[in-house]
Amino acid sequence: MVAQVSLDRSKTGTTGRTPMQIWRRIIAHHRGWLSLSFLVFLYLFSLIGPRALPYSPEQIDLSNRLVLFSPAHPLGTDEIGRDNLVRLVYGARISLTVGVAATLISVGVGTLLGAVSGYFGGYLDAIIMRLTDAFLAIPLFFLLLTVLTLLGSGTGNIIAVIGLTSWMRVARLVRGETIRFKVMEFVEAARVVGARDSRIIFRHILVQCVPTIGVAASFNAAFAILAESALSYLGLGVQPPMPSWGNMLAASQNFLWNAPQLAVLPGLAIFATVLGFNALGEGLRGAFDPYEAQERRK
Amino acid sequence: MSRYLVRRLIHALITLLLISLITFTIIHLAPGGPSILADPEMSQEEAAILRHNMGLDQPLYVQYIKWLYNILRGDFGRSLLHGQPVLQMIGARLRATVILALAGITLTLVVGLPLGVLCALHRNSWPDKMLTLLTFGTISIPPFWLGIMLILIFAVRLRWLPSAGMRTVGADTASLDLVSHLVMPALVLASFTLAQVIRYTRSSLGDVLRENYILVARAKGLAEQTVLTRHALKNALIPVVTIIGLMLPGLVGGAAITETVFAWPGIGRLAVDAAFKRDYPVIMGITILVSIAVIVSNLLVDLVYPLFDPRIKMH
Repeated sequence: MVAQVSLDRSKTGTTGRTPMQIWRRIIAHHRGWLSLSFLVFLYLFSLIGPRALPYSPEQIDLSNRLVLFSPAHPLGTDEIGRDNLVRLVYGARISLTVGVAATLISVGVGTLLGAVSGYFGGYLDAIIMRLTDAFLAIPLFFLLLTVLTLLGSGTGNIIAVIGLTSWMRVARLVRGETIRFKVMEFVEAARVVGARDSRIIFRHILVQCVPTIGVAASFNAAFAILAESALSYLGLGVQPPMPSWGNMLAASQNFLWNAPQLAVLPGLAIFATVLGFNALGEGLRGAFDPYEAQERRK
Repeated sequence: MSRYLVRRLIHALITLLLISLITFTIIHLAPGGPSILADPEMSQEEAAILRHNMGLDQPLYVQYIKWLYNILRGDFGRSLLHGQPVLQMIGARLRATVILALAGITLTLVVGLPLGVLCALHRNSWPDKMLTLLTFGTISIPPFWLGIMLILIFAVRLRWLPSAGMRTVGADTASLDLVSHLVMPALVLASFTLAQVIRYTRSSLGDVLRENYILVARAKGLAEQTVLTRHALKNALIPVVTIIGLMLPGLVGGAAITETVFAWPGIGRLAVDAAFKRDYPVIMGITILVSIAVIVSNLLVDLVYPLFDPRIKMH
């Protein structure tokens, strides 16, 4: 569901990069910083907001329903008088938590499977790849629905579900990179010195995969947040009264005629966050793509 | 050519088998098995009787084989809520989803490909820059929000289009009415894939136009139009065809959300309802059928592939 992530590295030769080189390229690339700073700001906002704002997200105030913008409620209130700003902030906390946690799971599982598959090859590789293909063939959303039918809704469940159904892309990418790297000289050197396979994989090969994994993780995070909000919208994710941008959006659909702002705000929040992660991914990818580096220098 | 096809067919069959295994495993992961989903309040004896009736006290592989055999015979079981055979329920709603999906795919190709080509031909002009920005934004928009916004603008404010459903009760011009109901859902469904098609066509054609053989074609004196259609496009469309094939599962999944937003009576909504009410035979049936559809369409895409790239035949 995301843009092309693989980097064309045919020009980078047979040696890997040192961690310092990787780090320096990330820092030097300017385009990613805007999205990163937005995301960091969002994260801080979601942390500080709950303490700084006077209302609780469940605080009902029936005398103040569907207010537009007022000094007491800067972003208005919803259909039973709860303050929108507070609910958006709490929603941010949940969405970010789910997004990051699910991404950690999917990237972790994917990296492990991909690295093992690529490094050892043979039957193990064939089995893992067939499994990956099978999982990829099932439309992601239906896979989510199927597992949720089993587990029921709830925040913890969706984190697990999203994480366990979006590892495939990462696995494929890491496998490709591992296959590329395992024939390089530094791996051979490590073997000559007597390093164990596990050490080679973790200490040497995966370090080289960090750029690819980083890009994939950003795009996965974007997808995770979209998935969480979609599931919450459908009623299968975070349950009301706990606010999630998705279920706020669902509730707003009944009030499109009198209070359209209820539909605009949470959706805008989801859009901005997803955009932020996608932009971050694109930025990171640009930092490492040799073609794009040439284009920029022109 | 046939060797390639046979290989792809075997690959597809193995994948299908694995999918059936995965789906079966997922449902039977619940402690006590699927009987729990029927009624969590049951007493132990009732649960035991139910389990025996459903054949759940037999070893897992026996259950799997029986289940697989039933599936191949077309027996997907009965819905836990409605009691109807699952296949029948799906069949009743299939037409609606197919209409929506076809509309979405048509929109994607008819609008996306030409726009992508135009962008590649006029790189860095302002329409290209605008479109690039627009497509980047579109892949980040939550589709259900896009749907709600469209409803807000076109149904609530402007009152041009109906806000939900597939038909208006008692409408006289049947097909025009269908089209007006179809516009917004198809747009939402197609949005993501449309953006991707534009981006990939643009980049692919852009790369192809820089190749040496294009230079040769131009040097030979061919008209720009001929260069484009006879040489550039055929090569540029290869990765695009791959992308379209990869996007099919996403399109199907997107239909579930779109159908819910617009109350479209298709199998996507059926699946969401089933998931909500823990009606596992229905959701399993839909998942398997949809996966089969995806694999079949990927096979078809693979069939089309050698038409674009004759090198594939030689593998």
